Amino acid sequence: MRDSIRFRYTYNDLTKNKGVNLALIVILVLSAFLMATGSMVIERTLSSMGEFFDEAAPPHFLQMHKGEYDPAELERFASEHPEVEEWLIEEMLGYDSAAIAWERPSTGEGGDLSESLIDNLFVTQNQDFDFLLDEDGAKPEPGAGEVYPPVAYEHQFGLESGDLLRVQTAEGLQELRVAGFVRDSQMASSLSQSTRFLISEEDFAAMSAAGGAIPEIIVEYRLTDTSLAQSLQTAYESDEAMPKNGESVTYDLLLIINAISNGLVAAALMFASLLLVAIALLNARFVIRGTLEDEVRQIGAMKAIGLPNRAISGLYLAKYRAMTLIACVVGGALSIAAVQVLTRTLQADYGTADIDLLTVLVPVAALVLVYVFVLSICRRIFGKIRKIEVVNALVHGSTLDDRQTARRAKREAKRVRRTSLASYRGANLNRRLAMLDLRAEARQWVLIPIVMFLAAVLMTLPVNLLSTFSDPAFVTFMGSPESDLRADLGFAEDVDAVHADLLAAMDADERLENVRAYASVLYETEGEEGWEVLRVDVGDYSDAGMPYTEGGPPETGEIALSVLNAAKYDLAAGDEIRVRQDGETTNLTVSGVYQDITGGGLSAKLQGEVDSDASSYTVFADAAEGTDTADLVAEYTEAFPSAKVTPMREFMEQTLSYLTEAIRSAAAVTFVFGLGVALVITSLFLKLRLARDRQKMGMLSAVGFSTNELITQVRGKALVAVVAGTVLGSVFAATGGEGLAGSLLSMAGLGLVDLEFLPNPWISYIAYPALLITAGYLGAVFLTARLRGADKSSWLRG
Amino acid sequence: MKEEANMSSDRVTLECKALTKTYFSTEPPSQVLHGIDLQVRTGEFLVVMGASGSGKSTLLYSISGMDRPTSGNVLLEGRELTSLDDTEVSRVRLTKMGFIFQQAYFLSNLNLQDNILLPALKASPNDKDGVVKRVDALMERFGIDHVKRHGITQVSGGQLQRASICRALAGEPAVLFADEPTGALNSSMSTEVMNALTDVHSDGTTIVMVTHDPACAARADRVVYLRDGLLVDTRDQGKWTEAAAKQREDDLFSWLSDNGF
Repeated sequence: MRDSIRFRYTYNDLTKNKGVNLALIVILVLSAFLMATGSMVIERTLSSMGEFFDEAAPPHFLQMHKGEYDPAELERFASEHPEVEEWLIEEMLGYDSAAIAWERPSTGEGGDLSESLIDNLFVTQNQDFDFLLDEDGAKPEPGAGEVYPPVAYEHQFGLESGDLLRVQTAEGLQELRVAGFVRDSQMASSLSQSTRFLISEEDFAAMSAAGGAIPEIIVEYRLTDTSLAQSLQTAYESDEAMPKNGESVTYDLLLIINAISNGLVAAALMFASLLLVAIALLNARFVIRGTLEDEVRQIGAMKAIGLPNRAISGLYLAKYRAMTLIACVVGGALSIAAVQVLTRTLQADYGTADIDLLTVLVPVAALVLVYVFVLSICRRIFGKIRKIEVVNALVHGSTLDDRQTARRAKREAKRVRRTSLASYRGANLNRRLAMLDLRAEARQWVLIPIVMFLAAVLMTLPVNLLSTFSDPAFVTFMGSPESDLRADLGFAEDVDAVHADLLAAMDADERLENVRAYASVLYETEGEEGWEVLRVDVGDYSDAGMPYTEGGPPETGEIALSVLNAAKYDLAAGDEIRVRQDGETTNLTVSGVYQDITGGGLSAKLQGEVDSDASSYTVFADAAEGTDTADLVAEYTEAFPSAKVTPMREFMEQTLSYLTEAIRSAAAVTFVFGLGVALVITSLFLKLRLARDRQKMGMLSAVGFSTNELITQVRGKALVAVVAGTVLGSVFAATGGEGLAGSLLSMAGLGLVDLEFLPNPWISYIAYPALLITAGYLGAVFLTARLRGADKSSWLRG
Repeated sequence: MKEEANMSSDRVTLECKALTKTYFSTEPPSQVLHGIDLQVRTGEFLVVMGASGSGKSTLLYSISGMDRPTSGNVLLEGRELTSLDDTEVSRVRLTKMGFIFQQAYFLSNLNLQDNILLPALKASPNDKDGVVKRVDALMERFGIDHVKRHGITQVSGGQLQRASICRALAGEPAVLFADEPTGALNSSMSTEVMNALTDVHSDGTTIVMVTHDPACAARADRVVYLRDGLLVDTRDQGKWTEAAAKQREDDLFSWLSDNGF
């Protein structure tokens, strides 16, 4: 019986107030959708990665190296460490992207891979662990003449099985046929500076013999316990006999790097969902309060016949139960499709994990959380029913008790004493009325600025992050000075000579300015477990335009540390650090701390000059005005084939693509949702507001205000509220939002502690606010347009 | 424009011809007025009576330009209203009409004086001092000048309705429309308001009033009776005097009874 009353009431209310209920449901659906999608993306990411890592068995610690090494020493090291379960040396042949071309025999299409800036390493399948897996999760063993390029290239260059790949060796072209594509547990992330191609033993031997490739190795270890990786790394790095002039990576770092791109999207979606839940609740509060005022006499009557408060609020709550439930079901269903789209890259890189109980439970739990949260807040708002007094409700139709009524009258009296039309000097009576209204009804109208504020933050933060990561100046967060191009010289027999020649050529080149050379040198410093490697870039920092979060650039006898290194060794500017090179120990003063998100974020800078025995060199230069960077890059690449010369912008774009892609998706979603919310909420608010203001409008109409003037008043109020909220939101996004985004990123352990937005002001502070204001104002325009043509007496008659 | 005290002339201020009004928002559409012809003479106090749902208020709002009639014509001082657009009709309401409703509708964020000033200031923005002086005089005349700075929740229902009359008169209208002005008041407040209206009429103001209350209708010069959207009877009552009030009410009541009121 009780249930049937609730059902009937809910059904009647839902069908009677279609517009308002629909708007509320839309917002609730969006929140539920984002929450379910976010949680599902996280679940999919973790289980796909987990399954993939289980099958591919990546190493727990790996060290890359170019050049000579002593296998016996490696043997000794492994035998000295009982925690090493398995280990291997993977031999690789490195080719420049421009040395690899592809062709599709069926159509004649083709091209080269020179757009890719990372190293291409040709390898054979490992037998014990660190397997390259094909798209079905199998371990392919290529036959002679076959190649399996990485899945990333399949997407980047549109490669297909059956295409021909031609690799430029010293003896001519080596032709390989694409037999499939491989996923790589080590190098899937775009942060990785290299990628692997799988070929047969025969081809490997042939290409190795042909020359033209830079041989490189990865020493890989599987341990009895992954938590021992860090200490093995320390032991490895402090052992002078170990080959180690390349990157070293632990299993944990691999996991973080791989999880972060997808995790970031998920985190952004859930953040957006929380904002939308807040918006939905603000609206629900507004609607519920309106309902209580409208139906106060019925509530009074129900109380008078002895219905308990709980039963009355249960009656009203049933509608919100139904709406939230519908929203959770619809949002959940929609999220299934969205997850398919959002995890497309994930599926390509890691494969699809099986659907199991957790796949269903995680989003369902997230939705249950949304449902419970929304309803508990609604229940609290309905708690007001308890305070409604029967007599006041029935006689005066008021939700207020005597004391509240008296307080309100006093407040009104005070307000009207202060205003006076008789002494109002302005000419525009409509504007004056609108402003007085806004002031008097601020408690209701405040909903609009709050929602616009949230929508502005929701829209602006991701786009600010996106432009920050895409800005050339962002390179300074990558531990490098801002410049137009960079040249990287890795290991090669004649690297010192090439470095000297390149530097000389660049110094002499009038088209280049600010040529700065840095050498990457391996130092050692004292860590928790003894001496460990400290990668130091040595060069002239006196004039390198790089910001320091603390202190300044190093001078002679000083060293600057990256944020993560400063944290690792617990050092601040002014502290001393002991470093060792070739057995010689020196004390250096920490001059400052800078932000660096590259290479795991562990780096240091030392003032000085090194032109031999460095593990690698980097030269930065600016193009003089009127010079085309692309031409310079092409020219230097040709003159110095062993140097990797890249335009800085492209270098950054490719290195940061994992971040920017994720943020771009999040920015697109929040852009649409932000505008949608602005439109829906202003419409919903005004619909309810206009219903409430009918008699006032009827009276104003009777005394001579035209419908156009009434519409102008309403639109004016809406515009003021919309603009106020949007402007405040934009200001917050520009100020506090920076800190908010920065702290989220620093929590991600990227090595950023002090993010400074590099927004595109036209987009963030002109176009976006303008669009948001337009959307909000459009809601007001649509709603008020209906006032035209109405019989004004109907407003007066209620 | 105004005639000598309490004298309705032969001149017609307001006229409607073959007026119909159909509401299309109902299913099926409901026709409320079925072709009304009515003339209101300058300075006349006309009352429209009829049972609930007979179309009294619809007639009032159709001839005052608040609602658009479905067909027919409305002329105010010879000017056709039905062909004007909303802004023009609003201007006519502002400068030529005054309204009093059953509920005293006021803006709660303005004090009583500002509420009364509002339409007059809108009509004559360049004569603020003149308007304020006129409104102050009206408030004094109707005995509410001592509460002019009060908020609308701080005064009585009778005071509010007298403020409505002040607001309606502040623009010196050609016609004053009143829709059940005493419907929400007790008898003493009703008398208070009707005395005020009688007073206004004695100045020569044309009044069109809809009411259920025969005691109020007795004050009018003429009463018309509406039944199912048709004007079925008219009664000329002549000048109202307090001495003859009781007799007049009784006569009116029997006339109403004859009409099935």
